[in-house]
Amino acid sequence: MVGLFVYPSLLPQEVQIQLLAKSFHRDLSNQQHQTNVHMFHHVTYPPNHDSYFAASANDLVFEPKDSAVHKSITMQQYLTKKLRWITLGGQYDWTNKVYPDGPPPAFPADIKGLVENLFPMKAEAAIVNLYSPGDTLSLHRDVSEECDQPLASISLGCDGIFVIGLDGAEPGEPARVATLRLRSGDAVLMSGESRYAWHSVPKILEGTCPTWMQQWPGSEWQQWDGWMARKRINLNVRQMFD
Amino acid sequence: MASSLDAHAKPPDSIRQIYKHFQKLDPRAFDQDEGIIDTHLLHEKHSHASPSSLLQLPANIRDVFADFVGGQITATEEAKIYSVDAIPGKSANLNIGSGAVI
Repeated sequence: MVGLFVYPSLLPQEVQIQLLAKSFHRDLSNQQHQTNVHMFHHVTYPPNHDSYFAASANDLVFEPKDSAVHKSITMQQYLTKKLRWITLGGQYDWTNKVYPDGPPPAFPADIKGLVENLFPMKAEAAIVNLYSPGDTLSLHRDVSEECDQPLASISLGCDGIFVIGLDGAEPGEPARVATLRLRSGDAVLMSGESRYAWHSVPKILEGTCPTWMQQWPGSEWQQWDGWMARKRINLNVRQMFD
Repeated sequence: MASSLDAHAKPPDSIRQIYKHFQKLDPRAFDQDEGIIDTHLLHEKHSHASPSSLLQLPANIRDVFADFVGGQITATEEAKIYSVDAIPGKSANLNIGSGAVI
């Protein structure tokens, strides 16, 4: 079982909506799960483990660790543009491109169960990437896990263009590259050689979020009604150890 | 093994050029680009991907989904799995390592 596999429209609407709810209403408010904003700001949390989309979080402001370099971040800025990724389970150190020593925090049990039932792997670490039209993910390869197990990637929201490539099979041969248009509910499994392939997201296609998802989190969350209309969310799940 | 690959290595130029091409491409042009594997069109014959039987989804997949959402799932089409022809299925242990092809 090796190669690059695509699972079109794998996840039903209800599962996609629940993945959004669990990731953003629950896990984002859990201090175990770090975000890109934690690197340079003092992140504070809503009372009673409320969602950041709740009215009780409206007035939160994240102050910078170094005010000479960074500015404070309001909730509007945080949820609209500044929040780019959340780590679940194993907390990847993006600066040094390693996982910290010691046992990782527990991976959310329900998402772990879903992933492990669908894909031939253990769910031990995940990165939830957030994109808006105009955002990109540069070419990179994920080489820091200590095993050769597959990596599963789930797409939610707007369509994303995904470029994945390997050098030629022999010196002098052309690179082997594929470009996919990934839609909400699709999954991709990178295994074998493709597990460590170069990959990137050069484009988010505006106006492509499914109609039934565009209003998420919905009118009960006041000013955040329709937040998903301009978002692509990618849940990228890895196994850290053999 | 993965640990022998350099996390700070730069990507090959040829792949970077493809990335830049799509980064600059007008969004309206993506619908016409036949080189892109559109997941919504994979149920039709597609020249860049093929149905795969190497992997299987659980027979009780509706129960898996229902457990996750804590309720019923509306009717869904049978999910299928495809492999991407350009990205080969070779053993990771044979191809990943210092001095390997990627």
